[in-house]
Amino acid sequence: MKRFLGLLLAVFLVLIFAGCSKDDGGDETQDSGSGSEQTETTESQADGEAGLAPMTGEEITLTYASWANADLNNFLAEKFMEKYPNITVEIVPVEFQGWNDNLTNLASTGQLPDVFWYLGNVDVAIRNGWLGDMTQYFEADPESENILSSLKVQGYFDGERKLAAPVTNLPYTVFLDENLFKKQNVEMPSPDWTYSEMIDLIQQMTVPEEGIFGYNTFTKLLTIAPIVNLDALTEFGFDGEKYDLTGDWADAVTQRAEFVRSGVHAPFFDTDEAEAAFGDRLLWAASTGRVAMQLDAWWTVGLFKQPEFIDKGIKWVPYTVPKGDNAETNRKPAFVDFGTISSATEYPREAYELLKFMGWGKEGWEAKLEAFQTLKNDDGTLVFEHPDGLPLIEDEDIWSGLRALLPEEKYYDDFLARAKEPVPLGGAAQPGFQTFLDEVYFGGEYGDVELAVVNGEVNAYDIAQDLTDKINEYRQAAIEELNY
Amino acid sequence: MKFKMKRTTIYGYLFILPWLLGFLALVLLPLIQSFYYSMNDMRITPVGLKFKYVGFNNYLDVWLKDMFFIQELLGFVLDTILRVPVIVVFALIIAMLLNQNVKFKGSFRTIFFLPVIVASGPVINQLTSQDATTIPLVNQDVIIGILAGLFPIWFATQIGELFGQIIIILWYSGVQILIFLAVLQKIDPSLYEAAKIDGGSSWECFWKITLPTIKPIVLVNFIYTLVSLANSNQNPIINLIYTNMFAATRGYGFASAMAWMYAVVIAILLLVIAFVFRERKPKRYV
Repeated sequence: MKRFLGLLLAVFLVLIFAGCSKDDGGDETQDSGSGSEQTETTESQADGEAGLAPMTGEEITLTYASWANADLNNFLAEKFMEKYPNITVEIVPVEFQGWNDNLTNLASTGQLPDVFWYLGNVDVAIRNGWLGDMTQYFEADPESENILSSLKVQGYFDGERKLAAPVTNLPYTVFLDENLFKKQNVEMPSPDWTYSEMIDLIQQMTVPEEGIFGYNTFTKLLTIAPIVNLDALTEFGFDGEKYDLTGDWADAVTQRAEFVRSGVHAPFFDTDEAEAAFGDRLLWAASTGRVAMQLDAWWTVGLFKQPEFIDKGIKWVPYTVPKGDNAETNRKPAFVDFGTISSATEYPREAYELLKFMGWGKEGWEAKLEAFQTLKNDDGTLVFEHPDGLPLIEDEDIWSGLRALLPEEKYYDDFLARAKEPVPLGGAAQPGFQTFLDEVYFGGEYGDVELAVVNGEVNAYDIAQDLTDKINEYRQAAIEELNY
Repeated sequence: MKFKMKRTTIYGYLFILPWLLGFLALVLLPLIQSFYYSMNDMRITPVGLKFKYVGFNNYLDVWLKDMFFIQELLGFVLDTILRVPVIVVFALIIAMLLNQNVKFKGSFRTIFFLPVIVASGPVINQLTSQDATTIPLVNQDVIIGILAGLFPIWFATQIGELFGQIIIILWYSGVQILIFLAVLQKIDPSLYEAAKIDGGSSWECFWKITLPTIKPIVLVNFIYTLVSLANSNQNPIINLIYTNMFAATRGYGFASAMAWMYAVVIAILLLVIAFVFRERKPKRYV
């Protein structure tokens, strides 16, 4: 029995040492790999990224997760692998619904992708230490200079480290029904319109006796006003250090409530008011032909070109969000998604390159433009009838390449010329913002603040200071998490 | 002295071994893990889980910091108090009907059990979101309006909502019907025959023979119904726990503490039910 136990113990110890030595061996391999990086780096790679550390020449695999169109992801990954034949990009399939939850599950099993997008809430990534530091690569990269000015500064959550970067740019878009404007003999606004002009126009186009509503929303005035009027870096009047909801936010949320109550705003979907107004509570107000403006987003441009709208005599044309009345910049809200490299990736340099290629990089965008024109569904139709987003860099070739894919109307020239200072929304771009929304703004002592203002339960001006204090506290707490 | 197991005992353990292993791996271990989580502030980093011991702070936070937990819990308790008896009584009535000698008895039994198989969580969620679980002829607003004249509004709303979910409630009855059916078939028919000879009506037979005989099973069904409602993925507290699990400032530790507090509340409700339906010793008359 003793011999048997002794033998068992010996086998156990051998297994343990074998396990340890395997790890050591792994490290050695990795070290030798790093050493060979210098020698195996190809000439073209070293030339292409002056200022950046060279890429490895080793055979490596990078995992990648984003909710961009799957065909586009595969196409871009192929192009990346063509450029770097020693790198294999493995797309990790992650379900879009519950994206951050699914990333959490991957992280809990040690499978967080090397490069990934996070959805709308940076706090989850901060708290769990997912964000890899890419400062040295980003700042040494000559291509970073070309990034749109309002986006280049994003992702420095503690003011020093570049921990995430914008990867998509889908601007807020205000659609005007040109036919309805003509019918009402109201002149279309200038592409350089201001916020006050938009508000006046909304009121002017509201004709209750004809059942015409001034506007309908997907995107909100209270998001737009503080950004455009204060040249802010994100929602709620953020100036780079703190928020202030006492001014433009309070004005806009009050104005919105007034518009909702007085019928300037079209009735909300699936309500008795919608049924009374349109005879169908499930009819989208934007497809009734009785709404002058639809506050929406860039992705709706393609939808509004569908026969459903044209046959009804609706001609939605895109405008950028108006400038602030006294604005010094052209900053306008946009749906900007963020990506990052994992803090645990073994290949941060290469992961950065992949993130850039799939997000803002020029070569990546050239591939995207090709994909928009060539990717087809099984039935032969184009996957992208409309380009998926706008570029994130200042590059004439890319912007004109994109322009060529859009309808010829002048509205699109005007739009693109005025959409070069996109400002991301708070959740993905600023620590503490989304948690503030969840715990205070939509689920705190006032309930849903916007709804409470519409229902007259609270006065926005009375609570603005309290909300300002709280959102600044949440921001501070989230930033402290970065040093957890 | 050597300990020797009986052969039959060994067989017994062998038979329950798969369950025992499953229980240890899939119930007991997660229970211990979840309790450990609840005592920690947890981070899900890419290189593994990180723990920081916080004692019972998560438990305190569940009660003091979460605005929705108490609110949802009260709603759940009230909802359960109303739903459980409705489900059990409905199941009993249907079981008694199915216990009669009627044609196509097997088909009817299948029909009543079918929702248990078909209406899994996602299916029920879809049907609920499409308003397919209400009876269109029953106007919930009118019912609430009438009840509001008689009861406080919060109570009237709860009862009104019960009518709105009536089909779902009935769908929760499948297993209970089977359990009742099984016990009804075990009642000795001679008891009824004797009662009929003595002039007992069907009504009296139900109260004097059927109900006392099946009383322990009523308790089983009450417990089964409460547990199935408590675990239902339509239950807002389950969703709240899930949301907190992935919320930036909460995480697994907080969510585990909330799950444990919820489990304690359910256990108290189970004890109350067990107390109400406990077997009482018959009174002796001298």
